[in-house]
Amino acid sequence: MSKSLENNYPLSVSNETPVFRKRTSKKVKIIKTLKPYFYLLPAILLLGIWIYKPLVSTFILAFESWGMVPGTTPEPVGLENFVRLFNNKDFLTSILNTIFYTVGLFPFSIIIPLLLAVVTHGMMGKIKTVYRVIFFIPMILAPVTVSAIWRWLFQPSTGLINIALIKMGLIHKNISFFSDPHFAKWVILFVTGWGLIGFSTIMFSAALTSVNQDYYEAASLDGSGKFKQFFDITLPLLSPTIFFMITMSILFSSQFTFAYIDILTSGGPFGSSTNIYYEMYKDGFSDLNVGLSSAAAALFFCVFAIIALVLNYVSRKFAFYDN
Amino acid sequence: MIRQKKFLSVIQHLLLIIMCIIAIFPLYWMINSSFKNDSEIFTASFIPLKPTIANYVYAFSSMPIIRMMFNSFSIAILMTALQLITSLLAGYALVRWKFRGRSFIYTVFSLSWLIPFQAIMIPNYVLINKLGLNEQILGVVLPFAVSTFAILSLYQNFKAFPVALVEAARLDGESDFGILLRVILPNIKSTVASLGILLFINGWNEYLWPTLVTRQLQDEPIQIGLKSFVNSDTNMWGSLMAATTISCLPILIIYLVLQKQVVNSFVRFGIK
Amino acid sequence: MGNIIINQIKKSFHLNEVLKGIDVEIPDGSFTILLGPSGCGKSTLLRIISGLEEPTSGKLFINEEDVTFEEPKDRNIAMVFQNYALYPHMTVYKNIEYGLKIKKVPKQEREEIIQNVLKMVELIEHVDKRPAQLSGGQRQRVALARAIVKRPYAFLMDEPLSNLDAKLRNQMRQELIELHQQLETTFLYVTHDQVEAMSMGSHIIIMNQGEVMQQGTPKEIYTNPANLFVAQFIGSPPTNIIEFEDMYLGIRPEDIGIVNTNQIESDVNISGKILTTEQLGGETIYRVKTHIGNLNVRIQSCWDEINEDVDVRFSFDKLMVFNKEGNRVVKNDNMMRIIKKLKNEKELVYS
Repeated sequence: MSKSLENNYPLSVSNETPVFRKRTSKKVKIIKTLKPYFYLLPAILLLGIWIYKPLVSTFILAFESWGMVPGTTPEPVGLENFVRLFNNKDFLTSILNTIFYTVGLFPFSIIIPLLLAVVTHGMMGKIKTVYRVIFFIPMILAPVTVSAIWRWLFQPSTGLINIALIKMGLIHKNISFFSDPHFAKWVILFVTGWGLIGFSTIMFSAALTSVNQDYYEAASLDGSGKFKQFFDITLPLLSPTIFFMITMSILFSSQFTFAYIDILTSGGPFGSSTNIYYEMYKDGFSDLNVGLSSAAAALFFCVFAIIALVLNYVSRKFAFYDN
Repeated sequence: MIRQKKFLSVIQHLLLIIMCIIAIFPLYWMINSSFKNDSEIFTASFIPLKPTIANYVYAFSSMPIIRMMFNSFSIAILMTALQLITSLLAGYALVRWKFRGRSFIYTVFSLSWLIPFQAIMIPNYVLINKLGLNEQILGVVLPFAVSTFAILSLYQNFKAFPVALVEAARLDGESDFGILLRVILPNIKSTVASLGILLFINGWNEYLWPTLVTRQLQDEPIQIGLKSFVNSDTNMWGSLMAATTISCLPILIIYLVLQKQVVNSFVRFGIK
Repeated sequence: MGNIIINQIKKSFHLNEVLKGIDVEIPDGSFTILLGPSGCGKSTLLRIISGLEEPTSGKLFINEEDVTFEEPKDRNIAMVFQNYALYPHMTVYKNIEYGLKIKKVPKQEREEIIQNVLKMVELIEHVDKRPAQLSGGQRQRVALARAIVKRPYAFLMDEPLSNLDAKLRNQMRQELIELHQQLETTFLYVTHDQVEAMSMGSHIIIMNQGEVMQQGTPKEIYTNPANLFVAQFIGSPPTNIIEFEDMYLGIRPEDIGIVNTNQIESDVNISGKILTTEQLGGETIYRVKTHIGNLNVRIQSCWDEINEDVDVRFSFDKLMVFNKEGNRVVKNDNMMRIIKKLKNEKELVYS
């Protein structure tokens, strides 16, 4: 028995065995090192094809001119697209609107949700859950659904809002919410914000539960009232979440408005409600000016990337993490 | 002191009830309007005095609603399935092994959601057309087959998974894939389910890309199909509301049945 | 100045009656301990005194004023939490300063007060650190400092040492006793550790299931327990309890003699068998099986191996008698006649 075992597992050092062992283990080793990459392959491949390569293509297209007509190819035109962008009045309006939306959504994405979270925080479990569930409903509805409902509510002549406003004596004539340049972007702002409140409220609520109750008790013994406790304890300890939501808000607010703009106002009237993302879409698929659209996309990608870096740095520096 | 507390409590509840009304009223108005007949629709009645289902009949007859709902379902389910599969594999790889480029790949994943869709829509559109996939489900789904959000969420989950279980399985001779399938997956079922729900809702609500890629009404998901209805100049508001109600019914049902799950999953994944 | 009177305080959470009617007075300047097992209501009582909870009924007086419904900040008491509750985003200095700032104490005065207290708790070098950078003992001192600067009528402490390791705990016990003598202010201290209570307190209030079992000095509580609970809660190993006729008899392990190693007056001499021996270094504890029950016997350390068949002896003086409700009763002649049967009865119910 022992003899056959020895044959299977030669313990003697001969010139052949080491080489034999090395060869099999090399093959196994190669498979072993490549394994993770196999698992990652689908994700990386798909990401590469559908996100990173198109990004690079967009950057290239930014310096070319093309009409997306089948059969034609893009022609390099240098910086012409960028020059055209900055000379376009609509483009500049869209930038202002983008800022308008970004800043305007802050109450909906940060301020109101924070207050709601704080107010519901002390409540008993069941009631709190009911409120949470209700606040969240606007968040799960599709943009088209939301747009349809508000389109009906804001209908100038027959929508409930005008009817109510006139009945309450606040206005005398119907407001054309969607065709009046003064109102259009505010409606978009409100409709987008309406959907965002729920998400942020839940986020802040969750973060609040992780703050140790003891701090509030110690503070009330120190003589601190509810308001002071909010500023001295809640805000600092919630700062990571707040910074995160601010970052999300700045980077994505304008994108959230996209669907509503497309469905409700198409950027009008007179470009009063459009934003940079909508202009990119229009340039590309409405005017079929690929170069212009890509130039805008490339430009703003860079701008937002820088903003993201700055925000990242700021939050690391100022947010407080209670470990 | 007690009186002051009770007063504050009343104010708090008042505020919250106002917010609830703001959140729910539009939905209520939609359902309310969908049952009103042509003459009543322009009144501000809060309950239809003469309820009718004519709007729903009209909606079903003027649009291939069933077909479009089916499209939405297919798109959402396919997206969710693909996203879950790719993210399970990728997340597993990132946690299970140490390999060259691991942190690089992780960074690549983390940064990719900074890229707005508008920055890549044109090349994707061109590519889909080249592949002949436009107006087909695969064309709608493919660019969304990977969700970096899902990858990062599952990454966190895998990291928190007890290493001892994995090691015990290894000692038992289980293969790496087997560990994922038979040891890890059964134990994170609820997490994956929550993630799946989130992804499904996102897939159902996806707007820009399906708009670009689908052309014929019957290929469109319900959202896009609804859109043309919204913009039409006719005053068929009742029918529009009926169609809208139908379009959000599946999601609402899922939500009401699983509300705790849905909200919790947003929380859980949002924090990470 | 800092005496606390608790008058028929009851507290229920929903249907759960946590405090069933507490009547105690905590003398001004004392180091009073609220002692009891988990769930006895001692922390709840402390929180009611602090104002963080409201009683369901009853009255609370601090410094002769009715403060039953006053806000915590208006009671002029300070609390040291079990987990310190230091504001994590503020430095040591700012943590201590917080309450003073709210009271609008002028800056100069604030600095003086804080410096003095920092010296008292020996934290001067750590003044600009954040809690996360401090050790457990240091954090505890910051919590104390924060309480001291308030110059309260009383200090309320909720198991402040339970998160420290044994050695540190001993050290801090000493420091707290010294601090108490320095400050000459009422200390109300909650703990479940009877050793801690006996070694620190001048006045102990023992609680169980929402009621006060007994209050008094450590000596009174130990030598004269008012009921079965107190007799068994204080002392380690606990008092031996024997069920006998319609009474409970109690005898402390150290009042029992065994073989010849302890010179104890004995009226009772019973035979028994040693079940286990614990050598604790300074003393030895035997568990002995007798016809009146398994008894714990504590004697000065005996390292010798002794025969398991031993004689157990104690005197009637040391015997404590409790009635069937568990309350302590005075031994009368009738009782003594019955008890004398102890020596001879071979079959008894024992606990």
